[in-house]
Amino acid sequence: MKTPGTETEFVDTAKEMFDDSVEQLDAATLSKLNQARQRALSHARHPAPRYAWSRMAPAAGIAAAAAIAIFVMQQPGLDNAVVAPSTASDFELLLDEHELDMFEELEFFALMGELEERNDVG
Amino acid sequence: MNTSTIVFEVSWAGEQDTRTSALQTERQLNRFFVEVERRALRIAEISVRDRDEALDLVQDAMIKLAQKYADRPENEWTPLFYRILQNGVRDWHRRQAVRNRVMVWFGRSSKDEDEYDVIAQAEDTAGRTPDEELQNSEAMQGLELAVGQLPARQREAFMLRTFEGLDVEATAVAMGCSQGSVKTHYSRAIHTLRERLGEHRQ
Repeated sequence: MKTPGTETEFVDTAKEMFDDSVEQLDAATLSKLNQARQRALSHARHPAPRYAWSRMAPAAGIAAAAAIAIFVMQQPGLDNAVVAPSTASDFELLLDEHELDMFEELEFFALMGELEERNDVG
Repeated sequence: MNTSTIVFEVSWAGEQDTRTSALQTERQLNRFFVEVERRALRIAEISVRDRDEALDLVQDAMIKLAQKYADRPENEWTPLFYRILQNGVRDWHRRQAVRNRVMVWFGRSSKDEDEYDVIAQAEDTAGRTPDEELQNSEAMQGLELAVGQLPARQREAFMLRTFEGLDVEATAVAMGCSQGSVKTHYSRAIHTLRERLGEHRQ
């Protein structure tokens, strides 16, 4: 990066570097962007219908979050030194479709924890 | 010509108009996405430091714009698109924060697996000499790092104003705040970046 003296020079240099990085996006990324665009356009062509049950989704989400929160809080041996994900909004976030994989990981980590505890006792 | 024929013809003509208008909107949307998608991807990537996550965020923003705002005037699309994208980035950071808390709670840190792999994310070097490429990529990495370390609102203001070239008014719409706030965030961002990158050069 050349040494920009004024604020305008700094902004111009930053913009130039950013534009360079945009120009250098690789073919695989450009292809993925193209696919993303086509998907978005197909949504514009065929907007998803709103089903009656979709109106109940928020309530169902909160109920599920509350159930998980109660389950988690009832587990023995909670480490007080670590802040638990205690708020309903935290669990709502975790119930997001993007986080479903994470629940699989959680089960794995819970199992690992149990095994470690057993090894410690043994 | 009887009444039913007239009704049919009017209805057919109406349907044709609707189809033509939908096709025109789709073409305009396609043009808009082509114009904005690469810069949007890089902006999202600098914010979340992961290209695949950034691709998902850009795709979600495109879908939401196409579904909800396609009928808005075309000149409103850019700030609307970036508003959706910035909201997506903020939600992503919130989810990450919760995820990290949960991981800590289970006695594991997700930091290691989330480490940003600079080599994996390195750009195509075609058309540059190795020296030029090294200088350029080091400088860009330094800038990305510094921008990534800014507070969220300053980062948004800087990237929208500098990288995307939005004016203060459009940036305010995209960030969902006043024009005065945009000016403050942007000015602080510039000050911090010049200071940090100045130190880096020394």
